[in-house]
Amino acid sequence: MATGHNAPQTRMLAHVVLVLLCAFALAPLYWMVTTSLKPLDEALQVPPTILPETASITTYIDIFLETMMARWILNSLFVATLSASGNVLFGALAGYALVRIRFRGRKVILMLVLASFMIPFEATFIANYVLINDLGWYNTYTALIVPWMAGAFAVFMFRQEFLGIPDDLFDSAYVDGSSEARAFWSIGLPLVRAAAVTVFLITFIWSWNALLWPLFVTADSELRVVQLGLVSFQTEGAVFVNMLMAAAVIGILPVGILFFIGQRFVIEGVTQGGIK
Amino acid sequence: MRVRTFRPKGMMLGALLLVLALVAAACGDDEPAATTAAPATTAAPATTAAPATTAAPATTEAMEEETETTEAAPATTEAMAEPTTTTLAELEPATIQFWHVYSGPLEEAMNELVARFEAKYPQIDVEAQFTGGYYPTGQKIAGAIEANDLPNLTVAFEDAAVNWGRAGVLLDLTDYVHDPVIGVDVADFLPVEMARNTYLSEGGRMLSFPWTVAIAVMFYNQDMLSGLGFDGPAETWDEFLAQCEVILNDLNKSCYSIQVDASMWNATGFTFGGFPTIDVEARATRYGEEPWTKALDLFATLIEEGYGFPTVGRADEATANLSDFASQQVAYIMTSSRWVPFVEEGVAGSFNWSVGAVPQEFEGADPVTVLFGPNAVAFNTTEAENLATWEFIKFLSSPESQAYWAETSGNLPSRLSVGDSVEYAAFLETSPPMAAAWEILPYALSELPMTDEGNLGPPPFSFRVLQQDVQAELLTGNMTREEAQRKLVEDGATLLGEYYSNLFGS
Repeated sequence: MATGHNAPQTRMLAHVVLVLLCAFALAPLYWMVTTSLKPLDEALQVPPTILPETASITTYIDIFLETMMARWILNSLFVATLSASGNVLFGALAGYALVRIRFRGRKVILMLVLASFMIPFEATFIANYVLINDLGWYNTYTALIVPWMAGAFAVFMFRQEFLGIPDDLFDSAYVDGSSEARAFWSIGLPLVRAAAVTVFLITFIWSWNALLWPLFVTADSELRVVQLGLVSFQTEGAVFVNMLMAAAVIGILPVGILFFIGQRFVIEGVTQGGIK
Repeated sequence: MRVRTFRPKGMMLGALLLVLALVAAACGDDEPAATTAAPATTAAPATTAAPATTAAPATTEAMEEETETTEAAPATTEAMAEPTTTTLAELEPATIQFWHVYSGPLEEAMNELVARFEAKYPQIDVEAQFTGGYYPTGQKIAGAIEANDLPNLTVAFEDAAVNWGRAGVLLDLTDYVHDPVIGVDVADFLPVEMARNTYLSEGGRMLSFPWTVAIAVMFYNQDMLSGLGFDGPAETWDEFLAQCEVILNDLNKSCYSIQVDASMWNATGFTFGGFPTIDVEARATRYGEEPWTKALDLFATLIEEGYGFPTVGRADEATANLSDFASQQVAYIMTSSRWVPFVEEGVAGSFNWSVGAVPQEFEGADPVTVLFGPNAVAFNTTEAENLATWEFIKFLSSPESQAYWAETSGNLPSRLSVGDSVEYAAFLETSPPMAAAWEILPYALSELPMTDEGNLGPPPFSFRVLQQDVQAELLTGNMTREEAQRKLVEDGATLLGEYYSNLFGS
């Protein structure tokens, strides 16, 4: 006879609680999707309709026909991919160097990197804006990408990962005549694959969700990203809530799919990084 | 453990090459901003004039009469940049940057105005850019000031104009406005608008120019009211409470969904004579005075009797009162006249509705309400750009542009002659709610402390936050009327005392 937490009643109760929690967590998503399928008058209805009375994808069609949403999605993909790739590359290089290479000021650099992680993004806004202007990067993809190609989070994640790799693996490579670059590329990097995927996904999502920075450093509609596009549905004197929700659905799809594919690595990477 | 010493070799070289490749790839469309700001110095502001109250004109005619005699105060301090009187044919080619807050359909309407301007003045190129709401735009301008790379024009409220004026980066529009060749017909603008854009705390200069206005109005459900035997919307607050009682008893509904908003709050207080809310000389609020006691009592009664409820804290707060109205949960909402087109879409013809004046304290009183809206604010750059910018401001405020903007955006014109245009009259015939708002406009008061000559010193945004915080506490029953008044008076005095000490000196 099953007892304790294996008892059928306990398991049933646990499942009920989990289902309720899932429903609670998914409710905003459900509301977002169903609202996007309603006409404006129904979307504003109080109390809201649970299922759309007149479900239609017209809003989605309108978004693509009447706005530059397709272009903004491509822009976001381009910017987020390069930013995330940069974080993986430079984070891995920096993390490797901080663990494997002995040089003067190594600890100070690590502390500075970690300290920079604690400075609120907003506090550096104006200084970064001035720098971008001075470099002549205003209103370019460069301004959207380059400042976010390296970050303390990636450096810290990779450093933690490299700390966990036994020295013997590298030592044997050095004995075989391997260079530092070769050791990094052939031994270090494959062993921190989970961290690399985690860093890529998380920084991709950060870049994808960025709003203020793209707003600051771009001027042309052609350079806008998805999040800026969403703002355009909330204008002075009106919030087109159905269009806003449809645009939000479109906006979260790519990042949702990406996260769904890579979630195993993210959980693994974050857990491993945290216990070093 | 064997740890290697630093050996830069191929790894670093490879990384460097990769960075260069990425940067080069990303730099494909480099277009550095062309404008070079050359801000002039700003003269020290003169001391403020004594505050005085302004009564709303009794009729449109009265307002027009007043218009003829009201002139914006001349500049009393050194102008930041004086215009070179010129004819339009002499305008040099220029590119002007315009940072604005209009997105979606409003951005399209603005782009149309820009296209019309560029067609009229081919030598001037306007680069209009949506820069988010007022806060992000303000942040971006703060960065642009530091970078010495300002736009030529933006839209902003009066407190921002004062701050930028003090930073010495604004284009003083006073001389442009009154220039015999390139100036404007001041008398054609709403007097309150010209006064709102004249800064007595800054020496009477025009640091901004009227652009677009909206007023607080009551949206009402015609079908619901007529179904209960009412001829129309309530004209007084007593009548309003009586209607609410019937709606509650007969339909078991609250009659009023109350938006927590400083402008709507002021509109209610102004109907009891609570204008202005600030005594600039005393650096204090007037919330302790009788008109505001009446206004706050009204709010408390609405909640206690179940006639009204606040929308604060709801997930859909931004549109909650409209949702309540469109779903016929309430008979009334008070909000900006700018929402007329949006309400049309939200209601989608499911019932008859319109717009009326905010109920007043007494029968037969003028339909007093509040007026708000951003102004055009220009930054001082080069002489050619300054002239081009002024020409663009004039174009935006021309009767034709105002009519177009009013029809497409739901805003109201700030020029009186727009009402005479055939095009706008035809539009008003198709939109009775906008026609009603246009009728009320002459009675609207600015929320700023004002005299007929200008504003006495716009309060900071934090003052609006205080108003809204207290309003929310009162409407949710967390504060009594007495507590609300006390907090407004005490916290208001601290806040305004500090702010005006910085502005005028202690």
